[in-house]
Amino acid sequence: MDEQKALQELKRRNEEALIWFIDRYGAYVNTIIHNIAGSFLPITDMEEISSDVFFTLWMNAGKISHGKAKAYLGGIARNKAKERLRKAGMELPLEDDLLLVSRENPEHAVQEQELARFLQEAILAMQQPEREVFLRYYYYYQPVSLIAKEMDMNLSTVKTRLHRGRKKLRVILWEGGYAIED
Amino acid sequence: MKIRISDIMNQMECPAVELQEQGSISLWQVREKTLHKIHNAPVEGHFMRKMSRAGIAAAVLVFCVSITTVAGMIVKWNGFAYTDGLSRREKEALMEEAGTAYARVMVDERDGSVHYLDQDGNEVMSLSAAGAAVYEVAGKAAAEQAVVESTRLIEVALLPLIPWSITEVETTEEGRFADFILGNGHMLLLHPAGEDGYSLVEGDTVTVMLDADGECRLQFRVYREGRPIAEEESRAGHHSFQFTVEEGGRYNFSVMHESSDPHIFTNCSIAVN
Repeated sequence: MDEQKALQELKRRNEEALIWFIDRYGAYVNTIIHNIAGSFLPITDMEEISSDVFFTLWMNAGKISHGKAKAYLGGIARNKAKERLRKAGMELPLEDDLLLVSRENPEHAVQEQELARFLQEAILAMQQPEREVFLRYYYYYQPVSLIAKEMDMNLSTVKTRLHRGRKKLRVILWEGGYAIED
Repeated sequence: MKIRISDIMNQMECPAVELQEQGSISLWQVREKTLHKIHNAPVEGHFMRKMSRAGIAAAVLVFCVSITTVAGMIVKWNGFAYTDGLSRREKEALMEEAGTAYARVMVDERDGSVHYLDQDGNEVMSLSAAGAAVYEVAGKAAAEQAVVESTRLIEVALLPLIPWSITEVETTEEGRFADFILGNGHMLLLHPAGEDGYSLVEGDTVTVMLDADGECRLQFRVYREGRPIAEEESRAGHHSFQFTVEEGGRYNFSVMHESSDPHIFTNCSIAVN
């Protein structure tokens, strides 16, 4: 079975197709969950989160287009792991994650959705490998040392790329009428 | 306003990145737990939209209703049946019943009320959304407790997932056991006739074999003094599971069916060498 066929069968509620997705992307989903929650939660809790991710895939199979399953699973895994930590009163701290944002025109409120749009624009404007470093750190919560290892870079290069990514984000937010402080 | 870059990204659709595998979350556990959730999820019935308000029973909390009675009304096929001595037509009829019988649970999307139907489509019980939530928890707990109490040969409560049913199956002196049909999530527990388990010593090799009427997934598990100690999955038509004893004692072996459709199993044997 290839992914396109598996997705078709999943929409027809074929459990063998679900098993196919678990076998194919289970390690990927588990890695994301481990990166976020591995230091805080026992393995049984993380297994529960992982099964929630694939249950969500099962319940929403009709909404997933061909070629998007992996990205979909990655996003769900990330958000469910974060949500579980938040419910347990825990949070994975990331360095250089905080920004103090205000509108230049105080009459306009800071809109989270709009910020997300600017952030997406900033990421799309980044060149590779800067973009991938940014995503690995801020989206997939990979520690800097692991990013360096998997992308075959030294630590200082990874940190430099992250710094440039944040700088690009600040520029785009500023152009959109936001003032930024660290 | 303080924002976290990582939180703002919650709302983004990010491209997938190749990550090297980290951690030790068990894929098998993920598979089991996901299938368990799917099998316990209520099913939406499209025809419910056509039911008039007058046609829907008033929502009633039914704590006093015997859950096994209701379960018996809803599901006639109980997951296991011997097929020795049945004609081909009888086997086919049984397979058809096994393949189509399931707990029919319909949710009315207008008010969230849950309606339980028997195999003829007649409503046997209806509950409000809140009542159904309580019923499902109580029903599931009661059903699981019934399975835990259904055998004293093994400590069922130690299993990571309680099967839908456990059937104790005797094996003959020659190590044979009868042909049977097994449904998804149901388990067979093998023991010698007249004894609680197989008395084995270090170095003994046990081989369990059975043929299915089509490729299917089975899980074999080994128990020593009633406690699970090993397991193995098999996806095949002809199944052959082997286990070598490292420490003597009383052993039992279980076979659980993991494929969605029921299957007939023949040429069943357990050999100790």
